[in-house]
Amino acid sequence: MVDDDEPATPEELAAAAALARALDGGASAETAFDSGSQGGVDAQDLAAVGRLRAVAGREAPLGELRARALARAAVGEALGRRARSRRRHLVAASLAVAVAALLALRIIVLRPEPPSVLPDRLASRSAGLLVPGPFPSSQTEAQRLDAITADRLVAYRELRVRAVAGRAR
Amino acid sequence: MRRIALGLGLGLALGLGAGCHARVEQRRPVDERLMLALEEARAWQHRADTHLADGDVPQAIADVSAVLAIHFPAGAPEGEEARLDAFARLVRLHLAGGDEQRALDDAAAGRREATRDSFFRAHLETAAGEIYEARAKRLEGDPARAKEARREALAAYARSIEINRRVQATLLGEPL
Repeated sequence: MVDDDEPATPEELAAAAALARALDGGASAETAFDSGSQGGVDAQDLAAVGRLRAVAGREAPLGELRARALARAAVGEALGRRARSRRRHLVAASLAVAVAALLALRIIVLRPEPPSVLPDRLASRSAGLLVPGPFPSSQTEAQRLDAITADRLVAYRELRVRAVAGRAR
Repeated sequence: MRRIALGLGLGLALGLGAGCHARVEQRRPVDERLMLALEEARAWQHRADTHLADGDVPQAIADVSAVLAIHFPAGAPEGEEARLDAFARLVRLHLAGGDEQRALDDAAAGRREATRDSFFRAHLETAAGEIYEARAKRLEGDPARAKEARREALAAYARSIEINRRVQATLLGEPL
């Protein structure tokens, strides 16, 4: 227990002087703290000083260094947000490209055998030059169908042979 | 979020486009269904020839009409051409029986079904031209109407010639 009737010790006198300087605004909280001569003034005391000064309307204006530091911090925060947003968009674009590539790859790999491997002669198609026009008046509809059916029958037989040969392998 | 959706949508469209392109190129091989349909059509047309040889025009018309009832594989060019040939024959059979309106109906029905140029499509237009030529002969006593009928006939023959030219140019790789 501190006896208030006892004379102040040199340490107490130094602390009082430091507090007085802080209250008078002769030094910022940081410099007072950094001076090494605060004589026992701790962070709690400085916070109290700040509140006292604020109540009295004597809070020191934001020092230039402090203001610059705050501004730098605000700009840094904004830049950080923008960088994070850019990263998000880049990830989204990369994801979309990857999906497109996978889809295209899937279709290319899994699609059925390309039609170009089926020779013309084995495909269902127009009669074309098999029964060329203009049709002579002496040619009948039945004769045209005879020619077309015979041609397609040859194709059908070849396809059947191929299918059987394929199964035999 | 909008950019993500746009990117994914673009990717999906590209992928589907590649798939669709592959599907459009596919051609169907000659199969049993096509062969059965062709054989049946051939049989009906031969029957019509035989009935005509006996002078039985109504039965010949019924035989040719039966070709139109055959179910060819969907999209088979042979099926479309067999049907166009049947329509053209019905035009001539009805015209020979004096039924111009039925002949016109047959020509119109055939035109509606044609999806591509072919010698058979040209042949149908030639048959249609014969309808108007026959009308012109019938209306010889009315020069104005006969002239109009001949104009229609010329137009139909011109269409037939053009179709034949286009088909030949395509098949022979010649310029149009």
